[in-house]
Amino acid sequence: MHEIVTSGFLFPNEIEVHWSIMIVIYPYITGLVAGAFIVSSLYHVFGVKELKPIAKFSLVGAFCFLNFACTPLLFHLGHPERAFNIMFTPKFTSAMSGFGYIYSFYLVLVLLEIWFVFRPQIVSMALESTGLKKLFYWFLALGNYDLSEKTLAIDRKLILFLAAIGIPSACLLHGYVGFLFGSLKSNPWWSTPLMPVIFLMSAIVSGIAVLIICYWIVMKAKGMKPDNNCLKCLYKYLWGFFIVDLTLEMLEILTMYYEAHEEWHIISRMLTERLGFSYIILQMSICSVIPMILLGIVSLTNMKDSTRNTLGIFSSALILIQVLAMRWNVVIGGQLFSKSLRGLTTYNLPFFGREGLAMAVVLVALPFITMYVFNLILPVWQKEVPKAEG
Amino acid sequence: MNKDRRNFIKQTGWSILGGGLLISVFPLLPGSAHASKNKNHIFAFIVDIEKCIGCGKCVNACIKENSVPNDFYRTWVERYHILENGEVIVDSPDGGSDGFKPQEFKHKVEKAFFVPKLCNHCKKPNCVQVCPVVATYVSKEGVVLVDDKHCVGCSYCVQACPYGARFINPETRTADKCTWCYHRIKKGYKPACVLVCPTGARQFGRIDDPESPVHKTVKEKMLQILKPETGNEPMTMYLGLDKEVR
Amino acid sequence: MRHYNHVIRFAIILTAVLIGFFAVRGFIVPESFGVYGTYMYGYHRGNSDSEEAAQPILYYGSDKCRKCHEKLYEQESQAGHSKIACESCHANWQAHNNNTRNKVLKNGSIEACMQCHKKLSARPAAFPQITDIKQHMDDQEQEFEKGMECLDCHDPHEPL
Repeated sequence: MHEIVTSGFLFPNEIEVHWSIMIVIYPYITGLVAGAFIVSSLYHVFGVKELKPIAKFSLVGAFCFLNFACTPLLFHLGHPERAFNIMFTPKFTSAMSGFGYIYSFYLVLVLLEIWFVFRPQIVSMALESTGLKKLFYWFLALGNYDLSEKTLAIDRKLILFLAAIGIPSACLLHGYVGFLFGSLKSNPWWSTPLMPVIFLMSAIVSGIAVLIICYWIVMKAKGMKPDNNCLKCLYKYLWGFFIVDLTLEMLEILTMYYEAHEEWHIISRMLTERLGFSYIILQMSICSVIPMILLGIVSLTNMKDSTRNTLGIFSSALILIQVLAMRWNVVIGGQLFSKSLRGLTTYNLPFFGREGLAMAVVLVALPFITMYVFNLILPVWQKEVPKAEG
Repeated sequence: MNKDRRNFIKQTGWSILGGGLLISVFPLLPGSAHASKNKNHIFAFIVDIEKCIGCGKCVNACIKENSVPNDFYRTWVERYHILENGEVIVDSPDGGSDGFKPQEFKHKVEKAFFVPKLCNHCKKPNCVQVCPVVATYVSKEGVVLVDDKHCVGCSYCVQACPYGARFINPETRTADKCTWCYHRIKKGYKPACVLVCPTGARQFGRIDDPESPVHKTVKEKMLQILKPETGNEPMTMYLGLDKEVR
Repeated sequence: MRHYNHVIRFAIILTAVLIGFFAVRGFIVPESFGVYGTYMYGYHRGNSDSEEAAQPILYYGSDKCRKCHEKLYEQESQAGHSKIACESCHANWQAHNNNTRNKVLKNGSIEACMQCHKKLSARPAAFPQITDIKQHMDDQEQEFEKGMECLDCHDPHEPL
């Protein structure tokens, strides 16, 4: 491993960075959940009809990401076997102790919604298959094959209800992750009331972006034609949310700069000396200005579908990098400067090991593999639209 | 029953239910920083900057007494050099455990001093507020302790401490920090660092006991605390603290 | 109600999971949890306090040393180092006790003295400190001989 390079003075316990890349990808994955869910709710609750082709998939996406939102934390904990202490003996003054409950609540909510949406499909699969497979689908259907019009009407109502309470829950889940950082008064880089809002906005942005890319890739892989109206609509939403997100990020740093509290000199040094690439170049220039302009052009002008999609998907990819860079800059950046405000340390990302880069890549890949498996069990892209879909 | 009436009853029912839920949940909501409302903070730790000679015996004794792992410190000593040009140079080689070597500077040294640091055992400890599993808490004497059999090792408290007093012990993989030598003070001994300090720069005792070395200091002297703006209200207090110390 | 059948099945499973959670919780949460208070203040594993307090002590203070080393204790308490605990320069009592007298640190080297008395700009000006032995001898207007050590003139127990 590389030597940790420090400059200036750090408290002797601060040399090591305690929150590693695992804590970077934890809010990243959680953010994808919130974003994907918001997209599905745009259709289910707000009736954005253009998003119909992707409504089901976004819900599945949210579910798959949600399954792995906690995993990076387990890899980071000193005692993962005690992880359930967080729910068994929660401390009610701790922001973190809420996570177990909020997460479980949200998981149940998404699971329920998915179940109602896919129920007709599960039932038909159960009726079609035989043997062990039938048993499996019977289990998924909880042994109930009732698809009468009245029952489906109830399902539709429940889907609407779940999607509606899902929106505040998604906002709560991710705003809460921002609050974990924003409420730490000991760290001037984190402690800002804007933090939860920024986290939420960047979550929505990253969720939309990942859906655009996944949708496009799946369509290409299946040899199907992507619905251009749907993509167009997604680009517009992406642009809109990204404007808000970037404005907030700018406001945060501008306020810090203008107020120039005593910690500003070390934060500005941290940003230039340590995060020059990930903050100044990635987060604030290349990956923000380019998609901002491109998405503006895509949303406001008429152009050929293929050109629009190329620009849109390129922008989405850049935005995914921007959000990842933002998480990195918040989590790692906040630990690079000393609380004595007199020195900087470095974070050396190991490649192998429990908290290494390789593990992080695997953990980010897992939700996508889950999506694939999910699609094997319950095909998401069926041509005929089941009746139950609201 | 007509429709209006039914709606009215329905609405009232929901509001009563909602209100009741809100009221019943309210006491469960995460409170502010007042984590140790009902505790008696009977102990105080006084550090006299003008007496500290930077020998590092305190750091050494602490490491031995508490088997502190390498490269981490429950207490450490910082050296401040304030130069004529206003530059402030701080160092703490190995936490000051081997003492300090003379240092040369381009500019004249205006003033210089040592600052011993340790856990502040705050009245409203940030670390206790944020611990998700109650593995760190304020004991009934007002000492902030870590329950290393319950700690999950999330390092949230390490991030929350404004003083850098906490670390993750690589052996137990749990949070670790100064306990004011809880095992010693419970039996009437001084903390190890206080015992070995050759100049009396570290003083510890009960505030309410007139015989205690800190009683008079707390009642009569002008004291300072580190980072008062955090509202943590430390019980480790300093005599002769310079404005440059964070 | 017939049309709610599947919802009820889901609810039953959810309830079972919830009950399971509380059942497991009942087994896992240590008994002494919350003996010092309810869920808010003082809520923690009660035995943790006594476990922390039960850790072994290594440094016992000079009174303990006095029991065997009365003479040295008397000698020390009359001079400049009177306020310094024995264990400050010697090893801790527990180490001495475990390994008989062998382990008592009798470090009379220059470095041992210099840890406190080396001239440092950060040390309080009034504190006795020297740059090095030669300088010190010159200041005292005495002859410096090569290889001189602090202990040639000073007894650490009565340094002046």
